[in-house]
This record gives sequence, structure tokens and C-alpha cells, in this order.
Amino acid sequence: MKIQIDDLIVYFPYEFIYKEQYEYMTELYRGIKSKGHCLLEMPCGTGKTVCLLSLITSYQYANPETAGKLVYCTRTVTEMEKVLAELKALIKYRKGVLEEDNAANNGTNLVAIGLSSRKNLCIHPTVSLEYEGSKVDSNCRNLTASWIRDQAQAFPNPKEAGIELCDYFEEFEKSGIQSILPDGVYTLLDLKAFGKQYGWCPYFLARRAVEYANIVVYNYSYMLDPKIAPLVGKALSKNSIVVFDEAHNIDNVCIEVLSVNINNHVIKSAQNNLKKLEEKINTMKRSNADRLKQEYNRLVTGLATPGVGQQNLVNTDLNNTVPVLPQDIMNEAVPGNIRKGEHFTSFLRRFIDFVRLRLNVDKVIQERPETFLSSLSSKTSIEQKTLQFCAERMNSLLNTLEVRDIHEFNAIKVITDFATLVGTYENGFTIIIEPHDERTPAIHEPVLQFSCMDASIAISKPVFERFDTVILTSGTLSPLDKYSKLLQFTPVVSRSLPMSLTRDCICPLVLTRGSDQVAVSTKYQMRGDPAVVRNYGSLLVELSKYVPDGIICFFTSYQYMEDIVTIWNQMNLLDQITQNKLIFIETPNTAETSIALTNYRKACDSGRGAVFLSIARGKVAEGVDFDGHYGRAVVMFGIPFVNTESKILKARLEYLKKNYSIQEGDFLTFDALRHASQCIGRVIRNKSDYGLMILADKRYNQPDKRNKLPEWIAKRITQTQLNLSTDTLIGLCRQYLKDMAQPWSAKQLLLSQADVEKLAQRNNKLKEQQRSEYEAALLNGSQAQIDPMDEDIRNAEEAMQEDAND
Amino acid sequence: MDIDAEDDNEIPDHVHGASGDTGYVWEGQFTGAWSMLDDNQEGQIINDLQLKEQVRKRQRLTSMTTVTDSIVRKGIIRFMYLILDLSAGVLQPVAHDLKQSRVSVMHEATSDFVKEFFDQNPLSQMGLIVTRRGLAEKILELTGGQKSMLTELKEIFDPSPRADDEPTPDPFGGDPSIQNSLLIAHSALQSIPQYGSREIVIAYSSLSTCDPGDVMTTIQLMKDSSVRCSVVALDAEMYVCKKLSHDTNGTYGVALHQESFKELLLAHALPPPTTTKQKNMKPALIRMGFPQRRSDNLFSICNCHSEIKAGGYICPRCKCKYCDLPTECTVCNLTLVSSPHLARSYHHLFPVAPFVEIDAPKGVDARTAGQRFDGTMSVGTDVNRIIELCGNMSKDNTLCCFGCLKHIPRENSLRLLCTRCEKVFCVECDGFIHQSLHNCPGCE
Repeated sequence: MKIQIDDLIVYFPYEFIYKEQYEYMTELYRGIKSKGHCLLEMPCGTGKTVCLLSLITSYQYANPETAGKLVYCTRTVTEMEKVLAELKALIKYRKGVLEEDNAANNGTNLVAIGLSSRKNLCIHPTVSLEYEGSKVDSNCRNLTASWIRDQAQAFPNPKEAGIELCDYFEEFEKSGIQSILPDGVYTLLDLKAFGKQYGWCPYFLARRAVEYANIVVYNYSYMLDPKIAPLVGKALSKNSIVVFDEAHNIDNVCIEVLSVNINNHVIKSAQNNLKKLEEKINTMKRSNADRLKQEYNRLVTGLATPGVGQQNLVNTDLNNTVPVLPQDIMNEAVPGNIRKGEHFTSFLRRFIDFVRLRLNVDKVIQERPETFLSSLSSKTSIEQKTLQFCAERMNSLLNTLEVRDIHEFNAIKVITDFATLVGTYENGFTIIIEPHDERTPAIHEPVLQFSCMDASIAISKPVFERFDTVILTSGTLSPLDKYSKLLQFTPVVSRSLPMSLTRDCICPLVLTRGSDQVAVSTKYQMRGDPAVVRNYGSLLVELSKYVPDGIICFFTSYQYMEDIVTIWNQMNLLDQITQNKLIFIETPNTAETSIALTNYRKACDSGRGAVFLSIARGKVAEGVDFDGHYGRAVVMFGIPFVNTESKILKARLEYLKKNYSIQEGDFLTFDALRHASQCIGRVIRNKSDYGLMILADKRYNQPDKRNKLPEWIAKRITQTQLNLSTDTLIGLCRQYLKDMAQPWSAKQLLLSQADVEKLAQRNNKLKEQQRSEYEAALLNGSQAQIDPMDEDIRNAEEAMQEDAND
Repeated sequence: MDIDAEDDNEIPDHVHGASGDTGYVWEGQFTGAWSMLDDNQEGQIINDLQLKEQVRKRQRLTSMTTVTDSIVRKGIIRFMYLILDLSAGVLQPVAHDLKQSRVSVMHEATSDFVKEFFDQNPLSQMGLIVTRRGLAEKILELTGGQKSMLTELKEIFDPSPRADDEPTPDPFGGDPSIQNSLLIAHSALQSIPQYGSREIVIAYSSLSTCDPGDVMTTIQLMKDSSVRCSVVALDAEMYVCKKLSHDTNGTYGVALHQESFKELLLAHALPPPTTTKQKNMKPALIRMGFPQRRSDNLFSICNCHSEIKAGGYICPRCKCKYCDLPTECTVCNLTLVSSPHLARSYHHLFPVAPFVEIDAPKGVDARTAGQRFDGTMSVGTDVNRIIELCGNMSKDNTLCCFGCLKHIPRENSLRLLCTRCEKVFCVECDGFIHQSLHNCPGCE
């Protein structure tokens, strides 16, 4: 259907549309038009992706001159594939409609690609077999690095000379590099197929295509990780529209990309790396001194000039990517004391030694980067300024030395990254040195954590300031103002959209006590209490009796899950559960977990029924959907607070309190509740689905916790669903499950073309009316603070309601 | 730092707190019942609940008798296996806090179903399979005899004490097995001739199934041999059952309470439309005998009970005597029926078109008015005229039912209209006309 939103015609690939989708697009368009950032929350399963894509592609179609690229960031490859598939359907539909209308431009002249790592895109017969991502990268580099190719050129038949090249890359370099992909939407598989057909390397094809594609879908880290972002982000102009899907965890992603952990193992391998590099420098000095000289000259002029052998359009070498280096530093000359290879290695040796000695502590040390730097300069006379160049200098050296198997040099790169980061940033970071792991206090295993505490460093400047419109969206983004505070940006649109439903397809229930009326909670003082453990266990036993097919349980941590399951076993509760359902469990091992998941699904399919035990912050909670019968009930045992004993967390909390005046408790509850809502949100993926959401902790009964849940969940907790004991909860569950099994149709929720037009008319009318009233109010000098936008949406809703009642 | 510190102020110190705890679950569905009561202009109390119940009942009926443009072919010669789940699930109480167990509910409902089935489908046969303790057991082969079915059901649910002191094995318990029972039913239904429709109805009381192999292959097998499988469940929705019924063109119903369980089961007494596979089949002639009742004083041995009795039906081909009709001659395999039996089955082929509701439900505007009659109109009816008629009639509060001549109040009951004769009927007469009478008194 075609929808008129403001002055834009939106091509929407379905016959019907939900009301909230229409509103979502209206909000989105408001954000895009005013060139501002958006924070939009809409429940999962209401079709966020298709709304985003429809509106933005229609915007691009309507404004081919002014609209920039759409950059869609997803968390996982599967999500990426889903987005591209949806886009494909959309473009196909749009083409049909536009051709029907005899439009001059049938809207297919666009290129949309998905960009992923070499691991997912490589089609080389041997390299692509490698399982590990970093191995694939390094093997690829062994075949495509510029100096290897230079060497190969010297021989008429490089294979015989023992130099292997990648045919796909050579072919791409020869013929593919100047050509442009034909119009269309390319999923990863499509790219691979295309590459096979033409003999071009799909990875470099995609990298090149980023420059001219209209729509790019890739991983978060391509946008946020300072080590990768400049590589792919060069071609993005300011008017690009950047979308972060499932953005509820974005602050943690930001922090992760800027944090470095160093332990003794890293130090040791870094020292080995260094030794190897020194040997290489010595051999090169004898064989190819020119190359070193060239490098030296380049370093004198500054980092921004292209390095040795970097004339190619597509750069296969390690690149000038430094964690967020300001441009003025890039143009500066590299300090003299690290320009020569051997000087640089001895410099690094001193630095590593210092870190090694610093690591050797017997109690926890926390210090600011400045303190670390001053003791560094007093002991080793290493300057902060020199440190800044370390990462870049390292890359340059590795290129010059023609190092193969780059993945072996990861340790030294961690050290140089750390050096650069510590040299560059003073605020928002902290250094924590712990003598042992928290879980194993007996074993001396010191670790130095260079931790970022301010999520805005990674995203505020490089993303929010660089692009006009950045859209953060997710099913669970409450409370919205927290995100704008944490990430330091001001959204022009920030709204949480409700879900329109004809039946209660989610049923949140708050359990506060067991059948014996003993309160249940996972708070530290109570979690070990046998009465609490037994009540949790008997809750699950009862549920396994009355809930069909699949039940998912989330625990607050692996540790807690292990403890409680052991006690359940001693109490014979596990046996009682297995009489009704099979039990599967998440482990830190991904492969094991995925086997468990497959079997869990099988058990649900075949009618045996199953329980899946998993962790609130684990992989399952973040990325696996339990739709339909795979998740008829989800139980959240306790509130998933982060480990408050963690030093890093404490430092971050302190920082947030000092700089952004966010209270510790406030932040912790916010963080815990967003994870809890993420967990319980797993159970519902579309409107025809239904599921129980059981929050088993007495603390959920408090309004301050409950109100931090997303609105679409919080709104559905009525008085009768609060403060339940196990037996009353089971009664409600049974009734609910029977009610939900009754035949039902979602049709009446959907708006047709005519409905949407009506709604739009009404909105316009109201807006005008509102505006005139608003202006009148202003003229009268009244101080009425009405936001015209919010007001007319509410009015429109009321009008819709009346309409329905007529 | 202890973030839990402030939590202790809200320990629930009361059992039935002010936070809206309902004391017992069975009270739950009646909470706020007063809010559904309203009084009309004459001061009569209107009960919304009652109306809702009527609407629900009717929805079920109309969904079964949907009229499409072409005449629906129905298999009136049905061969059905009734599968009863007698596992531990059947021992549970019907609802939380209610004492009546599912055993009695199932007994009552299935007995009613068997009676209704043979009443509506005199030419059909039914068999009985039970599943418990992971196994399935065929209790009764396909039979046309209603009595033997009822005796077997009584024997299962309410066993008569045995003469000897031998302890009777517990009739209920263990896990049910969908796969085993389907396979047993399948082996028996395989040999059914093409003209008969093969059906399975499962009365299920559990939330899991214990199968020896992959139940999905069995579902595929059922689909391939066009056995229509339907499930009526006493407990919540299960994926396997849903898939089974969906794939084999059956229906799946989850009972809210004992009444709805009975309703759902009885719905299977009416013959379903034939599947596409059977549609392609050419009509075949079936040989039948129409014996007349002999009430002479001549005593002879009947073929069904081997007892000396006076009177009975004599098979026209081999002259054997039978006490009841319909039956199949045990000597020459001739189907013996009487003409009323045929006539009753014949009704299913030409059902009375469903009546339409005069008063549009709240929230439906004129745009969807046409849609609300979708599927309830027989071919050749002027939809616009009916809409107009309904519009006029809905304002009238003096309408009387054409069947029972009682006044139908406007507010809390449904008023229905026959689209052919345009006469008004009440809900009770609607049910009677469509389920038992099979003729509209206004049209004839």
C-alpha cells in the first residue's frame, strides 16, 4: 500500500498496516526531516524493520539529491540477513507499484549490500574452510598483501616460485575494481554467488561497494569500533541516515570497543612477538634496507600520507587505523625516537617491562590514566605524546617487514592499542589492576584492565556529531531519557510506542512468595535460604505440569544457576520436573549451547515438552527467539543485577554519578531491568503469539522496579497480577493458557489503505486546529506549555477510538 | 554498596493482600461481574455476560455451517475412531480448586457424543481406542452399534465390580501416546473403501505425549492416507496437536470448562466437508437393504444377540433377523438401513442457511457491515437488502421470535434473521432449527 506521511509517499510492502507502525513512521519522518537523532521504542514483533526500511527508502526515492545513504547496523549476521531479505521484498513490491503507475523511475536503481567479515564472505577454496575469524583474515592477507603481490609480479608464473595468490582477488583487482555492482539487493549469499560467477572476491567487492551503495547493512562494530570504523566509514557523508537496531545494549558495546585487558599471558606473547620483529628488522637491514628507509621518510612527513605499497585502490594491508586519533595528530610527524624500527622495538620493550612490573601487585590498584603516565615517564622516561603513535607505528612496521600470519601478532597489537589509548584519553577512563580473578581468589593471576567508563566517547563524536540522523531503536529502550544521558546526545524524537492488541497476548505475572507464603528473592542475603530455593524449585515443578511445550528460565548468573540446580537435585525437584518435561541448560560454551537449543526445539516440537535454563546476560537472552510453542512461559528468577563487587563497575558508577549525576542505584536498576525485559521479551515475537512472563522476585512488586520495564509490558500488569503466591499464580496461568488457545483473528487490528488515509486526514485537521489554538494561546500570552506534536497524536488516538465506537 | 537495602519495607505480611488477590481462583472469573450489569430505560437489568455467552455459542455453530458458493460435499458415511486419553492427566480436577475430576466430565461428554453421532450419522461407524501408560489399546473395532460403544465407555469410566476377587488394573495413569494410538487407528482405517470418510477424534487431557518414534512422520502418514484428525483438549494448547489437526484438515479445540468440552466434542457429530482428495473421486453406488419391521408372533433367533425374540428386521437378501437398525448383515455384508436414516443423513447435504444477527455488534461501523455477513449468506441473497432490513429492524424493540412466538428483548439477547424468509428467530430456536429440525419453519 501507499501511505501519505506528511509530504512523503511511503511504499509499504503489505496490504495492511498496524496503527503503531503508522505512528512509528510518522515519528521517524519527523526526525529525518528535522535532521535530528531519534530514540524509538516499539515492542518486538510489530514490524520495526519493515517500517524503518519502507520509510527511509521512500525518503531516498523522493529526494534522490539530498538524501544520503542508509547505514543499518545490526548486532548479528542472522539479523543482517533478515533485514536484507525484508528489503528485497520491499524493493520488489515497490517496483511493481511504480511500474503500475508508469513512474519514470521504477525505484530499482539502487544498490544494497550487506558487509560482513572475511569469514562470512570468503569464497577462496582453502581460506574459507578456516573456522576462526582472525585466522581467515590472516590467511587472506598472506595471499593478498601488497608486498606479496609485488613479489609475484617479478615471476612470470608465481605458483612455481612458491608464491601463492588468491585468484578471486587478482581477478577483482584486474577487472572488478572499476566496475560497479548492478542494481539490486545483495545478501551475503548473493554476494558470494555473484563473486563466484565473475571470479571476484566478494569481500573486497562489498568493501568497495560501500562507497557507492545506497543502503549498507553491517555490524555495530563497523560503525563503533575505532579500529575498523575509519576503514569502511570513509565514504559516508554527513547526510547519511544511521540506524542502530536492537540498540538497548549500545552503551555496553561502546564501552567494550574502547577497553583493553592485559594479563601475564598477553605480556609474554607480546615479548615473543617483539623478539621476532627484531630478528626481522635485522634480516631486512641486510637484504632490503631501502624499504626501511622509505618507511622512515614517510614517518617524517606524517601519518596521513599513504604508506609503502598502498597505492592500490583497495587496500589489503594493515591500515592507518588508530583508536580515535584526532586529525591533527594524523598529520603530525611521528616522534623521532620511534621512527627507526629498532628504536621502536626497544621503546616497546621498555613499555612492556613497565606494564609487566606494574602488573605484579598483591592488592587491587585503581588509578587514573594520568597517574599511570606520570609514573611511566618518571621510571622509563616515555612521553605521553610518543605513546599516541604506537598503534600506527606498529601497523606500519608490520607492513614494512612483510610479516605473514598476522594473527600471531595479536598480543603486541593489544599492547600498542593500549599504549595509544592511554596516551590519547585522560577523561572517562580508568586503570584497574587486580591480583587475581574474583571467582578464584586463591590463584595469583593479575590482570590490568584499561576500562572505558563513558559510553559517549565511542559514539558521541564519531557518530552523533558526524551524521545528521542517527536512529536508535529497540523493543526495550525504557527509560528513554537514560540513553540520551548515557550517550550524550539530544534526540529530536524520543517516543515509546505501545502495541495494539485485541487480546492479552502477553501476561506478566509478579510472583513474590511461594505456596508457603515465604517471600522469594535473589538478593544476596536471601538467595541461599533453603526455603527460597525450594519455592523457586516448586514453582518450576508446578509450571512444568501446567504449561504446554516450552518453558524458558533465566537466572541471574552461571554461579547462581549452578548452585540452585545442585540444591534442586538434592531436593529431588529435578526428578519431578523431568517427569513432565526434559531439561536443557545453557553453558558458556557456544557449541554446547546450540546443541542444547536444537534438542530443546525438538522436544517442544514432538510434544515431549522441555525446560531451558539460561542466563540473563548470556547469549541466549540476547540473541535467541523463543516464539510460538518454543516459549509458552518465561520465568525470570530474580533481578539480574550486575555483579556490584566488580571494580570496573564501581568505577563506572562513580564516574556516572560525578559527571552525569546518575545515581548508582538508579543506574543499576535500569541496567538490571533492561536485561530482565530483554529476557522476558524473548517469548513473544509476533502478534499471533502468546506467552506468560513470570517475574519471580518480591522486589518486582515495588513500583520503582516495575515502572522501569518497557511501557508495553508494564501497562499489562494489573493489580491482580501482582504480589502472587505460587498456587494463585498457577491458577492464573491455567486460565490464561486456555483463554489464549481459543480461536482468534488479528484482522481487526490492521488498517487498510482507506483507514490510513482517514487517519492522516484527521491528524492533519487536528494539527491545524491545534496550531491555531496554540498560536492563539501564545497571542493571549498564556504560559501554557503544550507540545503541539504530542497533543495531536493523543487527540488522534481518541478520535480513532470514537470512530471505532460509532 | 547494597542496592537491596531499601527493599525490606515491602515484605508481604498478609496472605490475601489488598493488592487485588482473589481468594480462590474459581472466584476469578466472577470478579467485577457487577460492572457487566447495566439497567435499560425500563429499569430492567441487562446482563452482558449472558449476551456474551450467546454470542460465543452461536459463533461456534456458524463457523461449522459456513456456506460457500459451491455446494459442499460432505461424507455422510463416516468411519471414525474415538481416541480417549486416559493418562494421569485425566485424574486432574477440571479446573484449579474444583473437585470434579475430568473422568466424569469425559465420560459424560463422550457418551453424549456417541449418542449424537449415531443420531446424526446413522450410516456411519465408530471405534474406540484408549491410550495410557505410554501404550494405546483398541477397545472396540469399528461398529455401527451405539449400544456397544456406550457399554464400553461405561466399562472404562465406571467399571462394574468383578465377581472374582482379582484386583482390577487401574484404568487411568501414566503418559499418553499420540503416535501409538494414531498408528492403531490408521491400520484399521486403511482398509476403508473410498466413499467413506476416515476420521479420528482425540479427547486429550494431557500436556505432553510419550512416543516411541518421530511423531511427525506419523502425522505425515495420516495426511497421506487422508485421515482427518481432530483434537479436543481439556488442557492448554499443544503444538503437536495443533500441527496434527492443521495438517490433516481437522480442527483443534481447547475447552475452557466442562460445558465447552462437550460443545467442542459434539461439533464433531456433524459431518465435515470432504477433503480435496476425496472430491476428485467419482460417486459410487452402494448397495443397501431396507428391511421392514416384522412384528409377528413368530419367535426366532436373532443374528445380533443369538437370543430367541419376537419380531425384528429381516435382511432382504439372506433373510437373517436383526433387532435394530442400522446394522450390517453379518452373513451377506449388506448394509441394512431404514429410509428415515437416509433422510436424516440427507439433511447434512442441504443445511438451513445460517441466520444473521440483526443488531450489529458494538464497534462495527457501516464499512464492515458487509464483511460481517461474509460466509453466512447463501448464494443469490441480496446482501444490500439484508443490510437495510437489519438496519430497520435493529431499532424495533417489539420483535417476536417466529418459532416460539416469545418477545425477544433488544438489549441482552441475540435477534436473528433468516435471510430467505426474512423471519426473526431467537437463539434457542436458531439452535433447534439448525441442529435438530434441519428445516426453517418460515421458509417451508
